[in-house]
Amino acid sequence: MENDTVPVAGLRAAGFGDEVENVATAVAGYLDDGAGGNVAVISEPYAGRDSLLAYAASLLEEDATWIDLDPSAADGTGPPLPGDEDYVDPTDDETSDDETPDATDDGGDAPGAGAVIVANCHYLFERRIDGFEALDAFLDRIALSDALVITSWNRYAWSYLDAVRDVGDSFTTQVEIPRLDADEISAVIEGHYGPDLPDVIDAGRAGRVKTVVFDRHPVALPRGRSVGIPYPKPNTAWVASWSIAGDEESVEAVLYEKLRRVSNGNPGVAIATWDESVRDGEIAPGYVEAFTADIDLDTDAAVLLWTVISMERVDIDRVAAAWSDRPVETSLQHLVERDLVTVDGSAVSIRPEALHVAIGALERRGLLW
Amino acid sequence: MVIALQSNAAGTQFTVENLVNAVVVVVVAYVLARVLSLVLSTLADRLARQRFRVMFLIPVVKFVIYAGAAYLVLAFLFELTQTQLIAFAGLFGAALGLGLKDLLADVVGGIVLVLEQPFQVGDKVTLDEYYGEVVDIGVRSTTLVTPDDTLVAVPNFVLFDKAVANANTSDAEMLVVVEFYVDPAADVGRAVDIVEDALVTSPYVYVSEATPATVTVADDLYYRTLRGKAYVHDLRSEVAFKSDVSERVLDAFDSEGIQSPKVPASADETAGE
Repeated sequence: MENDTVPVAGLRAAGFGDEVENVATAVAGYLDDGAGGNVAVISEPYAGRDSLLAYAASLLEEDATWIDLDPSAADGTGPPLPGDEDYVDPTDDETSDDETPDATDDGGDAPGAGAVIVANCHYLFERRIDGFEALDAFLDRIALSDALVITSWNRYAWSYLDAVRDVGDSFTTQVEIPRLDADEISAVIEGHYGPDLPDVIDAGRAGRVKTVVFDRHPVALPRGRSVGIPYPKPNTAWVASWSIAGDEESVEAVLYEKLRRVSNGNPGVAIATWDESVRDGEIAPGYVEAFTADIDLDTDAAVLLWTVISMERVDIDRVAAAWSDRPVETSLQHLVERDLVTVDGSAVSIRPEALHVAIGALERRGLLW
Repeated sequence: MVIALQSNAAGTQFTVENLVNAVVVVVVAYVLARVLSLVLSTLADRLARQRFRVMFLIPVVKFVIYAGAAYLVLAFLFELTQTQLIAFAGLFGAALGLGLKDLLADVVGGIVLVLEQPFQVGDKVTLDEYYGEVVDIGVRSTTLVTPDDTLVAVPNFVLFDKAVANANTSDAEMLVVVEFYVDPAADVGRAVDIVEDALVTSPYVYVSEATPATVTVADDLYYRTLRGKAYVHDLRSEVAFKSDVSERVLDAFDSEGIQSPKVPASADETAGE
């Protein structure tokens, strides 16, 4: 599961009632009548879709098997389903283990053909020739299965796969996690950190954020030298936060509105931005800064960035092997230099703070649909 | 100092000062048109796929500036009366007969281009025998950049007597066709799968319900033709898309043993003779 998930209680409090109810309805159909079905929970990276899966697992108790996919899933035919030879029945005492979250000893007695929760189904494909075989096999098998299959998908991988493989046709229930407003972001923060939050202070308009800032434009000089020419640049994030200042007297309201704008309503990004913004146990609207970067990427780097955003966590060795004709290492270096991704061993993931800047850049290029 | 070269009762002033002013107006109009074109082009490039929302303004702005300059010169500087305008038109007509016919046809073609907009700056078009991206629509000619990076100035009167093919009609997306030929004995089903995968996994492709990627097969006596059709998200990627898809498909064909058509024996014999 993702580390930056938001508790379901927090999602409910944050106004995700419809999404929670959709999942609950599908699970209730299975528990009451044994009705199967295919559910897809879709969200941006860091938007907390695993919390919805965990909620479904808690309702199913030990009737469901939880399977977390990783990049190697693209090699096979997809995870086992109830009825498959290699499927491990969680209600079997000898094989039951702690893979199922919130498992209890109540025993599973649902009348259906079984339930399985598959997280991160976007790992079932790779963007290469013959890279859809595992996905196609999985979709074929869930179409024939009577089990309840609850899956989660990255929103951008889903859009791509829906265009090129009609993946949406295989899921009768699709739950897309929406973006949060300022109040919902506030609820998520309180749900995540508890009631003891840092003091919210008013650092003063002029002191905390300038309406117009001076940036420097480098001008090349002979012998490889350059000089930075200062030029005025409007601070759009701060100017945008004024729009609510007249209506809301509370500094907290300004803080959460700015947090929403910077995070684009993504709870995981909001939490990461909050972490970055706390200074000495205090936080102010002016401390919440939008991520900025020069995202002038070549095609290879842009495609790698697309892969990182769509897959969320990429094994760079695997990508290099699949794209032998592309300079993957050089492209990765470009992304690292621009602070867009983090590298942990061979695993590459998008930085939460950089997510929406990167998405905007890829949308302008036409790479994200 | 004003030196009257010619004047009449209506007050037309063909003075040196007016002539100099007219030249200044024309030069300023030219510079202004170039600067605004450059500004709009730069702005359009920043908008990437949305650049067509700005590109269409370039010829309109240029024509407005030139028309304004002409009006300024004729109506305000030389203060031509209606009679003089008719006389001017007569002289102009005579000039046409003496060889300016094509130039006028080009100018009228340019006006029609601005009004009808059969294509815009940024579109991929075939004009006369040339195919390329429109980079400028001028008063006299339209400039294309061919896939070989050659600038071609096509006279605007071509619009009147030749067909104009526009590949993208001011959308960033454009349909691109990539063809492959395989031996009739090859596994065509597998070849189709490979071409389809190569199309939809290209970094340049754009697929939606309205712009699907498809592969068709045509049978011939000595070969089978696979035509892969898909949209690129930016028409400037046309050549890169074709190259990317072709390279990966041919690699896959090699590794899967899907062979190119063989030269028929009869053709060999004919060549030998």
